[in-house]
Amino acid sequence: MATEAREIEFAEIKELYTRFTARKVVFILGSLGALVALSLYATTLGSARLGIGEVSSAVFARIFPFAGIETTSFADVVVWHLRLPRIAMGIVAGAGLAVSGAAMQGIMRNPLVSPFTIGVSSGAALGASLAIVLGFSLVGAEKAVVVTNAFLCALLTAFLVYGLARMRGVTGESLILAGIAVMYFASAATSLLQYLATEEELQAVVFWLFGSLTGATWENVLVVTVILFFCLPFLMRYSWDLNVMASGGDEVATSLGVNAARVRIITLIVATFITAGIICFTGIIGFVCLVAPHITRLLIGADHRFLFPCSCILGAILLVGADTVGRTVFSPVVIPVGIVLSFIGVPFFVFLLMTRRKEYF
Amino acid sequence: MIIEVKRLHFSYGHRPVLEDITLEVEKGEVVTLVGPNGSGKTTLLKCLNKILKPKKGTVLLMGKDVSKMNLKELARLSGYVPQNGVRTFPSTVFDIVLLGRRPYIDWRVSSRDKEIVAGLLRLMGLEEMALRDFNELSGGEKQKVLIARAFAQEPEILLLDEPTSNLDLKHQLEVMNLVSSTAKEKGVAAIISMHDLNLASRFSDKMVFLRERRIYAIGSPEEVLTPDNVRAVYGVEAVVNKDSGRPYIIPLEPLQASKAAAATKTA
Amino acid sequence: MVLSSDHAVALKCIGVSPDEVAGISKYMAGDQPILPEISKKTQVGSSFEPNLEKIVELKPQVVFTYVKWPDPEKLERKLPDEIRVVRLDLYNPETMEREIKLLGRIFGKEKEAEEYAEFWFSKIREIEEKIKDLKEEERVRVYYEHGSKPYHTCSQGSGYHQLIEMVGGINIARGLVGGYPEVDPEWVIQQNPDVIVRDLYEHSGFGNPDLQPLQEATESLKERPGFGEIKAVKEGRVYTFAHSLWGGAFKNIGACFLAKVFYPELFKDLDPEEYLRKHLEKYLGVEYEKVKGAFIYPELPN
Repeated sequence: MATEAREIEFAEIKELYTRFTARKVVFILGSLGALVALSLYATTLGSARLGIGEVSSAVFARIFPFAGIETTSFADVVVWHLRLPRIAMGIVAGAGLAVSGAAMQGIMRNPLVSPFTIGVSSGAALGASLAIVLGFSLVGAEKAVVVTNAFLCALLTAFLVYGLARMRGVTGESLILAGIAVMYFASAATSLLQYLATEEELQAVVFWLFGSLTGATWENVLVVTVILFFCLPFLMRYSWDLNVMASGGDEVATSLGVNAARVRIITLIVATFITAGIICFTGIIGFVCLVAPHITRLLIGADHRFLFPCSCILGAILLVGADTVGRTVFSPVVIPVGIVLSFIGVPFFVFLLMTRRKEYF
Repeated sequence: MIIEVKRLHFSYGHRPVLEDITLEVEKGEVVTLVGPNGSGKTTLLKCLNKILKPKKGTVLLMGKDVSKMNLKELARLSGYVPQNGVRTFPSTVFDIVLLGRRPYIDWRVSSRDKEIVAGLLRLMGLEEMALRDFNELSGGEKQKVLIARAFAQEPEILLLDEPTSNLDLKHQLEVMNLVSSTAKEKGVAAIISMHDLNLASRFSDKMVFLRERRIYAIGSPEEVLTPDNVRAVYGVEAVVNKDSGRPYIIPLEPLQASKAAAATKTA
Repeated sequence: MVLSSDHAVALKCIGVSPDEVAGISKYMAGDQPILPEISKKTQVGSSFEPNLEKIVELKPQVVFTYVKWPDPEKLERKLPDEIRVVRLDLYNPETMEREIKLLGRIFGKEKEAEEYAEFWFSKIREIEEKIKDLKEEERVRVYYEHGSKPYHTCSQGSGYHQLIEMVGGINIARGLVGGYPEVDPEWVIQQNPDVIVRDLYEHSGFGNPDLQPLQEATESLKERPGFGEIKAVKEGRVYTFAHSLWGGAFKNIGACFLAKVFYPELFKDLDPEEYLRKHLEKYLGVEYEKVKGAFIYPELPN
């Protein structure tokens, strides 16, 4: 703590701050390493009994196709078609959800906000239910009706919320209130559809609402990765503006040269887009959005330059970790990742909250 | 002339808040805006840096029309300290002050940026709190941090909205000393809204009395801080004492009659 | 008054006239090919959410529903005493015989009920007799999957598990937790089941000749990554069934279909379709050719 040093020299303050940011960078690199380690470890875990040797030769056989590494087709299938897509989806989905949660909380200056607050999830759920129950779709892409419907309805709902909020000036409160109103409406519509559904359709809707990484394929992973590739730089570019907005109201932002209204709408669109792009494949996995940014803030503070990348990594760790636990603890039975996430994430979060309430690094 | 306000009108919807405001401020001048609640002090401050857009009239900052400047350009010329800092996500004092460099920073924080912030923290006596969470500071410390943030913008003008309202005696003096000495040393113009007439009298070169949306009186404290003006603007009977150099007022009693008169006038 | 089609089928089959049915559940409404008259009766909600006002208005003497559904609070606790509620499952082979006979007693059709129960269990007894001597290693290992929830199977305690094991299959998921757990795909591959059966809920089979959904369910499963390795896929023993064969009043038929899928050699002479025709024509009084639909993909082995 700084209290020990009575006389802190000018250069010392600067040095102190430089070290302070350097520590954050080190922490981010460290957690990146942890994510890589976790992902590799998760690749060796699963219901099929494969040794570490078998898994690693299956992994390397594809990476170095000419090295002549021998592997079985079973190990190859398990590792490359079943485990790795799932882990990869966990990484990109966890990262995307966490970063959009962090962005939304920043622009609203409200720690309880996530893309889910402005109706993205209820919109996606409604879209999926429409497709499952009524066979209704906004665009007629045969195979991916549920996915496209969920995606489009999520976006539509978010824009509806934004449109409603605009009527009274887009502030955090108006967005949240409009979001809650629309969310209840969409949920009621989803419930009505569930009520009208046959038992079979009901099952499918409920399954979708649970959220799961079981359906992950390399194609889905690629789509989400592309979305992140284009959206993340956008958010990163606004880091400073979000810092300004998060530290005071819109008036302060204006006085510091930030057009708060414009930053808010762009960030909102980008965050919504990322979230919709993820949950249309995975179903509703909400918790990461809310809690990964909080954990990150508790660990390295609220500076968005570091908060964004670090939230991504911690979100990925949370989701991959939860899914790995979910598919191993009662193996071969798979516990839906949303359930495990809360079981793991909540105690961890509470622990951090209790132990680090006052200090941040 | 660093600021020229010409015939400025502002209204919230159909409710006029400021009418026909004309004001000039020189380099290095400390100007205080005084007047009862709702007389438009804060609104006037916000019209000066584009937080609010006037309905009519112009604001010239160093000869340039403020409404035609972009926000970043404006933020390099004008620093703003809001009435009270809102609670934020956990953020260190250093980080908060660093935000004042936002108009200059593209992405990377330069060594100079850090030096400016460090220097300001030292100037304010906040060096030991550099890495403390802003939310944990006392009201006076917070106010100093927000002022440091405005200083970090290296502005030509400073707009402060009731910077002393929630502070104890010592912090009030410290804050005002900082602002006036910076104004004098760096030639920055400071426009400050205030409730405390004596503090205003002590530190300002010019006082502006606002009453019912208009400027009622403008001039040096000696010129305008008179029992007549206080009675007309605040509806308070007061005596003014000039023994200690600057005029000093002792309020006596609110005026029932003048209150009634003011009420009928507005109705 | 009946709150499920299982009850309606049983009533019809022991010779209770459709005229005696006053109301039906909403899931039976419309033009159900196997129960043409009954399905046009007044709807009174579902077995989960009965519409009490409608029930009272229709003044039935008895309401038939499942043992577990709906909650008594939603039915008998609210109904006047003169409307009696009889709870029978009529989908569980273990209690089926007793329940059919009970129905016979209620309607004074003991003889018909006796005969129907005899018919219902005739093939099941044959099957049980034949598989009795199968050794453990001769039995097929079976993976069951829900039609629209990938990797959701059934384990001990579920009706599907019971049916699979009744006709001599070994459910690979028998020991797993939960009645209908989701399982890890790699586990299914490693278990390497001999037969895979899928249950397509939305496809009732009766009156629906559309084979495509069944075909799609079968083919899409075969194309899953790694499933090419599974014995059942290699040998073309992946079957998708219409749901009506899996549960309720037609479990006896389902058992025959499954038996043929599991042990084609052993049950060469068993003709499930013929048995179904008899069930429909003799007991339900509908023309088989009119109501038959797509029940299974691919076709049964012969």
